[in-house]
Amino acid sequence: MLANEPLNQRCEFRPDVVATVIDDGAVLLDLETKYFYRLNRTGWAIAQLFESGATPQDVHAYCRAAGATASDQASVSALIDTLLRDNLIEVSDGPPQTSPSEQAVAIDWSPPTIEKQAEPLQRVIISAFDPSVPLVE
Amino acid sequence: MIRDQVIAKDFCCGPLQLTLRAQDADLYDKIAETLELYDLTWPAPRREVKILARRSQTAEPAAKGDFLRCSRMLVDRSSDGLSASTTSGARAHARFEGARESWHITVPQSLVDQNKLEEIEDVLSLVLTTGWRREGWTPIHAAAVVKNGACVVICAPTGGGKTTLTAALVRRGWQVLGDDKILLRMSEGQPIIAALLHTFNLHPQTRRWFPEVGDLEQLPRYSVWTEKRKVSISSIWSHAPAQTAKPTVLIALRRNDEVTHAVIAPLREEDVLETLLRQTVIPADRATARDIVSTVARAAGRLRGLNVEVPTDAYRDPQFLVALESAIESSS
Repeated sequence: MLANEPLNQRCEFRPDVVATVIDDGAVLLDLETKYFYRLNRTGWAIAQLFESGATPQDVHAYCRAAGATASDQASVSALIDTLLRDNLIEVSDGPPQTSPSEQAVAIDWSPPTIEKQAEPLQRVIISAFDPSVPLVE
Repeated sequence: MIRDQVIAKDFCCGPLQLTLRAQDADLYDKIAETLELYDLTWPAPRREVKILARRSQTAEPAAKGDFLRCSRMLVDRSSDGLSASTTSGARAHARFEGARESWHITVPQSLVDQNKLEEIEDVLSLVLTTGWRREGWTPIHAAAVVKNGACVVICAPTGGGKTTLTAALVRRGWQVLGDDKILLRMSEGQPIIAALLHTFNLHPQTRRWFPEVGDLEQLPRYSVWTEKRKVSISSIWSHAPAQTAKPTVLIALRRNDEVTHAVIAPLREEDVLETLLRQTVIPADRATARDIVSTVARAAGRLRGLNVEVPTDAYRDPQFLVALESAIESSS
């Protein structure tokens, strides 16, 4: 586990983060930074736990139950670390909306991956129809 | 004092039926000029959108851009719709009531007098893209061509050569759905693309490769920011216009004068999604963004990708298009 994981603190997605499920996982888009991320199926199954306010400890327990080995826990920690470092999830003070175990989905275990796109989408664009970089006029 | 002399007319803009009411003929003409570009009549039923345009009498506060930030326009969410302002003071307020939507646009006299059509176009692009999205379509800034069941979405930034490659393929019998504006939606798990207009924005230098376009410099410029001219596709290639198609291939097109010949290579699956997302305007509104990303991501999952790099004079080389068509056929 990474040193900066808030192990016992509940974390939730920031309201500005939009998740879309695709065939082989999910896409996350941060509407504030305009960065987007691709998660594989396991990565998405883990990230979904934060929709109900799971703790990193909950996540590690879920992964062990799903078949993660001790060496797999490093990739789980790396995923949580990316979600926290990029502020896709944040520590929550409120009560959980549902139990993390209710949110958990059954998966065929494979190490989770998260891939951040190198460049964010444009923050300022030409027009409501053209997302290109505005030219100097 | 400006006399209230309301002029009203209906326009069909893809899946929208717009009713424009303008305070005077000058203002009406400026708005109608843009709406008339979207000349394709889709089958009914169409979403009804009302536009009331007036000259502005007093300055209104500018938007902050919490929904969308464009170079000449900022857009905010409001309690019942959207609110936009442009650099020179045009304002637009949208009100959504169930399926109905109405826009109240105010334009400063100076903007009409100075013929600053770009800002009026910016406001109308917001009106249109909002209506199309609410009707279930995602606007994509890309070209699309179709032939023998293969439909290719051509992606490049503004000035990246979408129109030129589209025209080159049209000359080889492809039909066109658009050279930079198309609509996308998912239907029964499959992506569908629909055309919005059947005009090309062609640069006069296009004649170097495609002499049949004629002397485009005789035509007025499309806008003060570009050399391009707007021409009807069917006036040059009568077989060309198409209405809808199921996309099969995505081309990420890039100009590259460091290569001597065009380069065609497969595009990774994850790069197909990124390429399509970069051609899509995604407002900073959770529900709107979720719908758009969902449509684009699911559509991207159905497309095979090609990376195409072209030097300026690639279209002089007939082997380039032969090789490209072969790669498209292999990918479809």
